[in-house]
Amino acid sequence: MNQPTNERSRDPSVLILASLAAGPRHGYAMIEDIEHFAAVRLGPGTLYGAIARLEQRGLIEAVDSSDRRRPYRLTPAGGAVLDAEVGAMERVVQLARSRLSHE
Amino acid sequence: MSKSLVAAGLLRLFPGTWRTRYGDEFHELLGQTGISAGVALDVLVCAMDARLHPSTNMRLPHMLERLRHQELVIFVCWVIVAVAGSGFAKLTEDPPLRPLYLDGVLPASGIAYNIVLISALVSLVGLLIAGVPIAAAIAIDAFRRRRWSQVALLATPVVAVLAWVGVTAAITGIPFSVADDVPKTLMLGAWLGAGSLAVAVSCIALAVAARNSTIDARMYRRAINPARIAVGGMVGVTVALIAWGIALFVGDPYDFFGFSGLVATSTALSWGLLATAAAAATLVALRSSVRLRREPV
Repeated sequence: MNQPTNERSRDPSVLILASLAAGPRHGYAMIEDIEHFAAVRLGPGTLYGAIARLEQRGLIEAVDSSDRRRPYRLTPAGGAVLDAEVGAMERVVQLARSRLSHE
Repeated sequence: MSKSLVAAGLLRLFPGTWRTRYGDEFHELLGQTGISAGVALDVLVCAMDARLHPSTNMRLPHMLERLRHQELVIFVCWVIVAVAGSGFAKLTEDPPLRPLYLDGVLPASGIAYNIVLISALVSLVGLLIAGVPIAAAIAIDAFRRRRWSQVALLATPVVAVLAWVGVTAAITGIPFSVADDVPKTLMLGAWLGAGSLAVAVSCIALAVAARNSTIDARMYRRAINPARIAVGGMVGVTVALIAWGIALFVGDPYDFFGFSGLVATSTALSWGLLATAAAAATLVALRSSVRLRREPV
């Protein structure tokens, strides 16, 4: 299991985007997936607060489904935002590693 | 207290628009995660955030809400005009008013009567083209998501009409020996009251069902032009209904001021009430049709 590297990676919005990068998921599947890869268990309120914001910003969208557990998927804009977030995190990690190695 | 009731109680903490959009799936999620004290606190914080920042939790864009509101207003106005039109049909179905247009005694009255009929037909066609796809989409959405409260709302008009038919049957089924002792106004009041209640409850139920539904916004956009056709028909009905009364007043003042109105009341009063109701509803519908915009939603 990959452990989170910094506080930014615990941002519910980023975690949701990262979870949906693997494909459409409904709320409970996201909670399980995020707990698996980030060791963070999001509460239902936190999850849906973030889902509402992400949907409002057009970064994720609901998938039409007959199930009451409505799945969501990443939009192209959401993919771009996730890519930018991951790039920023990678730069922080690289910088921190290089500084630690020079100590 | 059952888990479902607690979940429903927690859901009530959120604003209505949030519940409309996320209520079903959030309720389902709470069923899967369970509701511990920590979860309840987490939900409480989210609900406060949703109330403090409502704009971030509105899925339905403002334009869609406005469009849907205007279309619902037109629908309710159409029902009022339809009721007024039915009253007009009742007013003119018997002598002495019926021969005036059937036998060409008052040509202007006959023309106005025919325009009412044609306009009513045009208006009905417009309403059906606008409303049936939306109603079908709402019903399909309700069944797919197993939202039985929505199904109950959609079934309300059918139940209301059946109840009204039942009241009608009960009143007409009263034996003559008993009916003679019951004041006519009481029976008429009960019949009209039941009918008005059925119409009002049906309109409210359908409006609430439409508000609670999350059907595709394009359904409402497609209904814009048919809704305008329906309003055009309402204008025709109202203008012709007013013209019919004026033609009767000018051509046959004796009958106009007679007592051949609804349930043997004043003809002028019956016509005045029907024309006023139709005119008021048509004006409101016209205002809403002007406000219908084809902006992206």
